[in-house]
Amino acid sequence: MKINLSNKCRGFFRIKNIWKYNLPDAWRLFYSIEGKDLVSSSIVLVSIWCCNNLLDINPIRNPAKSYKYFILKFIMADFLWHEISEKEKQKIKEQAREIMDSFSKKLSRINVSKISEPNIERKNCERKEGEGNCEKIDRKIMFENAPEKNSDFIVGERKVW
Amino acid sequence: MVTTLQKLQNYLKEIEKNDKNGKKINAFLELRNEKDLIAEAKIIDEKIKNKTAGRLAGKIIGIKANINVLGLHASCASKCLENYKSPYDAFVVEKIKKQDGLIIGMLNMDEFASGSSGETSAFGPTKNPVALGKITGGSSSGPAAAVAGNFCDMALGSDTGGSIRNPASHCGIVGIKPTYSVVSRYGLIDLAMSTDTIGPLAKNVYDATLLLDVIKEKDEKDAISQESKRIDFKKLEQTPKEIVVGILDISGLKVDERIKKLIEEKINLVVKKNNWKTKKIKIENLDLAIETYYPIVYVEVFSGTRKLDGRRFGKKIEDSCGPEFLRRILGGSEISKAEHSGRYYHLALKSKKLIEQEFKMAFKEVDCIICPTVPILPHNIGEKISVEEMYAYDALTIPSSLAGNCCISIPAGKIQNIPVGLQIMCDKFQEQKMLEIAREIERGN
Repeated sequence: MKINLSNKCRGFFRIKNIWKYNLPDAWRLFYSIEGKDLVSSSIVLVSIWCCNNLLDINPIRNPAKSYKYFILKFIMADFLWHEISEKEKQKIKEQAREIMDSFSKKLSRINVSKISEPNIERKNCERKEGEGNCEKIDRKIMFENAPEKNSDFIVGERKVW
Repeated sequence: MVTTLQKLQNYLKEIEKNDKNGKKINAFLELRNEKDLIAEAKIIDEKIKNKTAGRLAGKIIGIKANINVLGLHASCASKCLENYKSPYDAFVVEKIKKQDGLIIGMLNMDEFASGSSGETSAFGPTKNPVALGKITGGSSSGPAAAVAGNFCDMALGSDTGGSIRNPASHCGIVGIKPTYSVVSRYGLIDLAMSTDTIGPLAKNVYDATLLLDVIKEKDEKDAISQESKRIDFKKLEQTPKEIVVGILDISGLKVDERIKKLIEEKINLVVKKNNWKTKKIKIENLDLAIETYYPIVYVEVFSGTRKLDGRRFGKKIEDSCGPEFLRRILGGSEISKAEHSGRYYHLALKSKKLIEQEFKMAFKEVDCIICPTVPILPHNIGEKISVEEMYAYDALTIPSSLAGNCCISIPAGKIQNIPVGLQIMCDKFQEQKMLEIAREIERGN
């Protein structure tokens, strides 16, 4: 797919055109054609959304968001949804632990012995019995949601018995 | 007068034009069948004609995708529950239907409400209709964008640490987090039950109040649910007198100076106009809010997701979720181990109690506390941002979530054409007073 570049973009990147080629999975090849030469700009793992929005960048107004920067930022973004590899899972686990440790360290300044327990005592905590109405739950949809089921029950344990 | 049907058709046109096409806002995850919507709108119009319609008749309402609506997909914007169809109505949805509100569809959000930007949805981020290219805020990204983008009149969202107020602020609309326990969470797919609440987002204080008043009622199916007073709508139109406004001391937090100035100007204006008084309020442990909130959320996310094992519905959560939600599950699994007893979760609960007590003391001196809703302006969608920076978006909304107070975010103005919200916090069950103050500030806008 050819990506249209504005005059400002052409001057800034010193390229006349930019093309995108979809590689397998989420990989994208960005390249430009100069005469008979094909110049590969980068091969990046980006969301399709990112590619579609590449033209939103105005490098003159905001050089920090020039297209190479822009793509790099997308790859490194922590918060856009993407599938996770086992390696990344490990990294996330370590990161989570580090965050929790640093938070716990900061919380250690409070004097816990002076604070009452956080549970709530209600004067009237008994619920009225016999007012529930199971008919409000659509049994058909409930069964449709279960990945494994028999005629009238959901299979809870797979290949265990 | 515009009928429900005409209004619906206008919204459907706008959705067709700008949700998946045009501006590509991506606010909706599921839109109800058009024929059903039109048939329902006609019934509502007939009821209006016969003067038998409910309080929400004529209102088109979107629902965040973590609230069950019978027959629609409550996917929580996750691949895990992608095909999960709700077999029942949440308590709040029952209330809306009973009052003839027309539910138009399910709205995008951060995956399982885990995010402050609207970027963690497995079905793509939601764009901010007011500042295209910027995040909407989260986790109620779809509800805020749908209201601000003129796709519906009002929406229901959920707020655990700022998920209604934060996107309301970035999108220039009104968002209410009610007092903890005032609105039943039956039918809400939980994030952290210690602070989860359901609340409205709307274009103005009146509409948000109307929706709140419809959904708040004691419900036996939510163990923490409590009775609260109905809103007096006549009083809402009167200027509240002798109000003492608490100005929150936020000097210990990183807050954009421009936002600080804008909020101060807004407060001065309303205080001077109504002859109200002001008082500086310092919450000693305000800087501990984020460090208190996240251990609680991590552990409760881990506990709450054990049901998502791929047997009754969907896929196994650990195999199908995105990085931010996985961080919370894995972190929660780690710190809830018996060997860490007292070091994380229990310590955080104690800190939560401390912050709650500090707010209780503060509300003995003032009627409300005002501060910016979000301390910084929203970043560009996809921009790299550290976990700490992302969590800091909620630095000013988390404290009241921990304390269980009621709060509201209303538009205060714009900086660089980006909306900025003003947050009003009141003591528990003081919704009436909070809404009167909010309405007065809104009138001055």
